Amino acid sequence: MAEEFEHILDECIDRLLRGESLEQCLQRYPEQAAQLEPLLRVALATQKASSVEPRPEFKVQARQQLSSVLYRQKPKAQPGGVPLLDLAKSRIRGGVEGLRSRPVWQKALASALVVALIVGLCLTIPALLGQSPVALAEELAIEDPGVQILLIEKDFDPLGVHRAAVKADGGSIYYVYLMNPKDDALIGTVTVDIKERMVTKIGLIEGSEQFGPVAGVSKEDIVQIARRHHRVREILDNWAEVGRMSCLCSPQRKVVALELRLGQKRWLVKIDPTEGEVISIFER
Amino acid sequence: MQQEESLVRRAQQGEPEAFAQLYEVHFDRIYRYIVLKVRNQADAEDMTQQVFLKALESIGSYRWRGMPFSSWLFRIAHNQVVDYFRKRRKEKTLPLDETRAVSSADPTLLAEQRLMMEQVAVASGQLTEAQREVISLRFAGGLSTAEVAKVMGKSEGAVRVLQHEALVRLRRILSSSNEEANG
Repeated sequence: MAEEFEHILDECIDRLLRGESLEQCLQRYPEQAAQLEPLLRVALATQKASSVEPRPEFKVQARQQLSSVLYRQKPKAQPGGVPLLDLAKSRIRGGVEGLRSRPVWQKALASALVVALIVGLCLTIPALLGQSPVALAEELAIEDPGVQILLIEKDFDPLGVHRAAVKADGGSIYYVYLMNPKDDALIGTVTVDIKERMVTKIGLIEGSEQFGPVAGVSKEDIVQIARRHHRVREILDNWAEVGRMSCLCSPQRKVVALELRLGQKRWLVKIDPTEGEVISIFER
Repeated sequence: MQQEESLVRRAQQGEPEAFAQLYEVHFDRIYRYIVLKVRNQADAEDMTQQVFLKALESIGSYRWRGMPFSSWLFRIAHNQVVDYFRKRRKEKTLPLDETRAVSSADPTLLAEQRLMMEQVAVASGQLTEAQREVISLRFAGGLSTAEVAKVMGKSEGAVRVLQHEALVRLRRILSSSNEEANG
């Protein structure tokens, strides 16, 4: 008897939690209504007292923090090659385990693939682990959101631009020369610090604009400004990761380029920190 | 449920989007469960983040067999709360003054809800540990009886008994405190 009542009470609580009214619940069980009602009222009061929600600012901040951890963990070919090694290990392990229950031809094919994978890794991993400083400088320059935005604005496809890096001093500074692949004309110069893994200056030959690192404005401030634009908000709320930020600040104008990443997708957001507004968004 | 199972599997294979979806589904409920237990907003925020970071760290070891993902997640949250109280045993519990109610747009409703939260929190303090846990998981966490049973390692029948006893006791405490307040 008590067990039956506990079942009914439990079912009514489920219904209340799903949004059904107290009266509807009681109508289902008229015989137990008198006993159910006071308990369901307490259940409703408890549910109401438990209806708290996290602060919206906290939700945004927590989502961004987790997002950066999530996308950092994603296995991809990065300099250093460790995630790739892990991925390779797991693939090899999975492949070997899978061999046990398969037909002979499948085993042969799988073995060939494993061998090919191992050979491929032998050729690729040393290259990744030992990426040359020149190649790293070129990669950092062309991946910089400020450089990308400038090239887009000047109608140069960043992927089509030739580049060549030279060491600027005895330390970690490199100049990366951006060349137009059509006529090999110099487009601009990007100064990269490979130790800090950042672009410190962008100079275009056409025009006198010289761009440098961001000063007097934090990444959080820039993200806040960017979020004022509905499209950026939509992208960030869809778990995009905030990537690198680059300054296009000169005496004439002050612009910040911010990169947003979501899986393979990438957006470049151009922001005017003085006016506190988004100038444009490029999807790459 | 099947959709969640597939999300978990994809998250275990390292797909960030899948984990992100699981996070969206459970974030508010985990926060609600924690904040009503620790009754301190800042600590609850830290702990909620910790729960998801721990879940991300150990999702590879999670196995679906018999334990829904939500139960597994709430078990992590429960362990966090236990650790928290172990560390802060000698400290006083803080009021819920900073906690944000769902109905915060209306100041009168907000005040009423805060009063109700305080009353329920005080009354819950007089329940047994197991009764309190059932109430928190069921009403703040929004878990089903089956999920609560998995978190607590009890049978569904035992959870229903605890839930019944807890509501009877809460009713008695709340009505006697209301009678006292009315004179």
